[in-house]
Amino acid sequence: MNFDRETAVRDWRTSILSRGGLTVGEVDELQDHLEHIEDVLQNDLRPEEAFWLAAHRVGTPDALTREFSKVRPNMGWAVRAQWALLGLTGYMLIVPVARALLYLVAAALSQASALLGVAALVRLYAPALAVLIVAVGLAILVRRSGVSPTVFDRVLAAVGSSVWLGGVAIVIGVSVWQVAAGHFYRLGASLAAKVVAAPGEPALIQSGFWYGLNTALDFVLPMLLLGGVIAVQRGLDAARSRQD
Amino acid sequence: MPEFSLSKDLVAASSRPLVLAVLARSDNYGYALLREVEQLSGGSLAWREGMLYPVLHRLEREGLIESDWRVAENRKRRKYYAITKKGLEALVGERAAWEVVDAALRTAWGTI
Repeated sequence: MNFDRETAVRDWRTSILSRGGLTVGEVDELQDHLEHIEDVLQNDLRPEEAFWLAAHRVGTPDALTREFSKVRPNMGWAVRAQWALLGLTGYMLIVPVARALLYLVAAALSQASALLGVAALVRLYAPALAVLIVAVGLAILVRRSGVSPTVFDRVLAAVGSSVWLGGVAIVIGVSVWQVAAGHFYRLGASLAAKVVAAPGEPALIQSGFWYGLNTALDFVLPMLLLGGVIAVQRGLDAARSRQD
Repeated sequence: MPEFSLSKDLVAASSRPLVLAVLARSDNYGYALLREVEQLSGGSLAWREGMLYPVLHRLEREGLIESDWRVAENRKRRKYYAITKKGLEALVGERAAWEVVDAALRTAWGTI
């Protein structure tokens, strides 16, 4: 199999970043160092050997994480907390739009009398569906683009480099967005409510219980997703450190 | 020269004055800095490459050095470190301390 240096470098970066002890800027710096060593080794070794020897010289991800954590013991938690906040922010930003779009879909579906039942279901479950669609969509996007989570990390780094400014900008941005998205969302909801005729809605899903469950899901699902992401990341970390 | 290896503690302790001394000569980036230290010590101070950076970050946090990203000849970004005024002052102190150790050891060697 041919050696794909780009993939190797990306995996190397990801294996360091996923341990949560280093920032993207620090890994950039280490990569620059790695490339210097590779250049020196290039004359005597094949590219693959040069890469692995260089990576070994720079240090294993675990050793690097350990050394950096001596300088900055709580970095790992800080990074996880940032990820969690980023996830929540993303959820707040995208979900209202997905929800409003689902209401519009419900309204469109209701135009066909045969699909009236489906339309009512979409309308009722729009909040929960929106969360699922956004989560799955983002997961696919990250996988397909192959950019690894470092892109999000760059966003964090950019915000982190000017904490106060970034914080204020985020609060204002999110507030404005929420108001705008809220309008959009209500517009979609009222449109769907107007167009989807009540007779199409099965009696069952009109009951208070289902509405209650629906509202609860709206809160529980993102929390479960967030917990799931953190659990998976920890599991991966543990599996990797066993491998090393 | 007899075979020897510097203890981890000694390497760690000497990393501080060495980094400051090298940066006092000129601004530099990690890789080149490491090679310079290696050269200064005739190869006997071989640090694990990646371990240099935590040292640099600690010195930066203490305000003894500062860093900025510059564009290198290959158009890539590269992080350069420079010593600060506070760093130069610290270097004077480090030098005095190491000279005391050196003088004591030299006297001790002389009596063996």
